[in-house]
Amino acid sequence: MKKLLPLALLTLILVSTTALTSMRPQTANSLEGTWELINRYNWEDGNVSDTLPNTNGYRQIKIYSKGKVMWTRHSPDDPNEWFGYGSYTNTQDHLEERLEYGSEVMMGIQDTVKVFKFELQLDQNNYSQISIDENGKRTFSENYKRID
Amino acid sequence: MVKLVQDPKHYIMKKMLGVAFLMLLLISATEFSPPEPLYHPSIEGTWELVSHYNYRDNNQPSDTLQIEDGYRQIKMYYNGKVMWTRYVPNDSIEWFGYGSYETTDSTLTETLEYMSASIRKIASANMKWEMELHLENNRYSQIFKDGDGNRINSENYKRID
Repeated sequence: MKKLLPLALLTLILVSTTALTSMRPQTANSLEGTWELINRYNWEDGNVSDTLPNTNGYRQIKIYSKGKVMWTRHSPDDPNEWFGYGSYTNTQDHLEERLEYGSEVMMGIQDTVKVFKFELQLDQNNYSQISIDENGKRTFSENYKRID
Repeated sequence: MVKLVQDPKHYIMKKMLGVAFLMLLLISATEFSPPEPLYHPSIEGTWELVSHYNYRDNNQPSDTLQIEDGYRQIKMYYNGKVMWTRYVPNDSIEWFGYGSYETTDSTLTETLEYMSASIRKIASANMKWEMELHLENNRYSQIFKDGDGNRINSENYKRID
């Protein structure tokens, strides 16, 4: 019986740890979810030179889910409508979006840009997509907060 | 000399073997049981419009309207938020909407927060859409009803994520 007790204990520990490991959440931050633009930055010489806030009811929201991305913009002052849909891939510091379709103005841009590549700064509840010029310098970023 | 029916050492070995076997069984069962399947299909994910139905008096579909080439309408549901956009080649009217949603087994309610100018013209004051919902794992239909509860038409989607 004494020999059996540690065995039984070991069984319990092994079984419970196996169960716990399979339930453990992902530790890496995920882009999956719904994000709203809080502001934009202009960058100069590696530093933020301007912060551009949202004005007059302006809203821009992006949803990322399982490799698909969609965004729409509510911009009462702008006669153009803005939206896009496509696929994305990301690492912890790099984001790539491929547009499949968009609003008329977006389709105009798509004629020249097929893949949108960004530097990515990703926390649990905030992320920034930073545009980089051909010299590898940051030029412009959109900064989002999680809203789901 | 009378032989013992069972040697006590042998007896304990047998018991331990049984426990070890049970242990193995339990561990492997825990390890390989797949993640719990969803009891109900979930609307979370990305969906593409494949067809429309028109309904007649008897609440049965009377017409099926297939999607034209190049036309795309995609909806994403994620954690209480919904967004949809429509692409129609050579059409300058833009269609999209964003808001929140709630579902039951048979109803879908969407409350939009903002939308394209064309949708704003046809939106109700509270920007709320109440629909009948038919949801399976890989397809769903949202059915619009008139004031008397009769089905008018539906949008039928397939899952694409």
